[in-house]
Amino acid sequence: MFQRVKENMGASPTPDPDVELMLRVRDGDDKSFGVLLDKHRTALVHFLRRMVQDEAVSEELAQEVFLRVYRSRASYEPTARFTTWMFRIATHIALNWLRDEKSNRAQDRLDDERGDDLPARELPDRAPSVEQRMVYRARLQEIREAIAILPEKQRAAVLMHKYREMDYAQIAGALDCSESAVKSLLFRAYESLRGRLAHMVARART
Amino acid sequence: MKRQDIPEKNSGEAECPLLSEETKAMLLDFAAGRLHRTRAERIARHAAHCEACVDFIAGQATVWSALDEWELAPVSSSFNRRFWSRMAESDRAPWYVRLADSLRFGGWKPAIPVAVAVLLIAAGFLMDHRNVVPATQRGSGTGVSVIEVDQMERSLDDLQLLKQFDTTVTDATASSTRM
Repeated sequence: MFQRVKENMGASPTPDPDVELMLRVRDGDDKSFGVLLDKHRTALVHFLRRMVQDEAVSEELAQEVFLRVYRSRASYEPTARFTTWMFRIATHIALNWLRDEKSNRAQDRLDDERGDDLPARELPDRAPSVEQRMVYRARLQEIREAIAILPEKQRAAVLMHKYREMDYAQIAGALDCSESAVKSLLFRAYESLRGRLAHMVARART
Repeated sequence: MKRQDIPEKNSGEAECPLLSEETKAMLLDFAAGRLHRTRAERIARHAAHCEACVDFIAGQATVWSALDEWELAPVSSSFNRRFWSRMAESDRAPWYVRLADSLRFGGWKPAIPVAVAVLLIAAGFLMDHRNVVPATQRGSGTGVSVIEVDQMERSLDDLQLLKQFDTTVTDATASSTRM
């Protein structure tokens, strides 16, 4: 699969420091792999967490992604940005997990709101009131549901576009489709999200 | 997109031509603040007169700010330690465990029912054809062939003829003694 990935993804015009690190990993430098792990761990876990909406599973899947990156180091060829390649593997693993778990996933997983989804920096110096926390959780729940309802490829495209700020070519490389297909996916996904989340700003303003 | 592709004023159509299939990505980029300055200025000039584009950009900004609210807790501090121990375990594991691990996340699950179906069909075919003996081997088997039935009939006929002959000879001998 990885060979096909490399063939499908165009080479990046700008030098990518991550590619340099990965080439060192290929040459047997495990410390460089540690650098890559530290650098991309959070981005990858958060992408997967938003994809699968399960904290423990997202970390397990992220570890699997890094394992695959490491195991394929010997055959690594720098024909694309490292992150495109890594997110390609991550998307593949996440989509497979979602497909396998689809029948088992109960709707109440979404309802199983976890307190640890509240980011530390969202909390002001003074502890928020119970009402503030409830409002925040309700809004977060709506956002999570709106994302979870999206078809999986649309979801992956939105998460890469919004949170990773990847361009269309990178997303196309990660999703193994054309740039025009990515634009179409994104447009449909945002259209759906606009319909579901439009009331939020109006409500916040009132 | 060329300058002339973007109308400066709303031409009165129900839907803005910017919302066509080719240019919608540009509006997404504009709403995300990722469009090149020159292009962004052109779109802003156009949007000042286009209600459809204003609605689109406002709606997209709503989505953007809503998604900004979804922040996540940091990755657990034990992530790296668990990863390195998992890698060490993976290196020590026998090949079949590593294969099972790769199949676990490799998207092979849908192929399993197909493989089982193929195996069942193959097993059924083999069981169905197990008792079929080639024609060349039939003579040595326990079955009764057409040739054997013919031979049996001929033997019975011969025995009957012999019996008739025996009766005839006996009668002839008795009459000659009487004379």
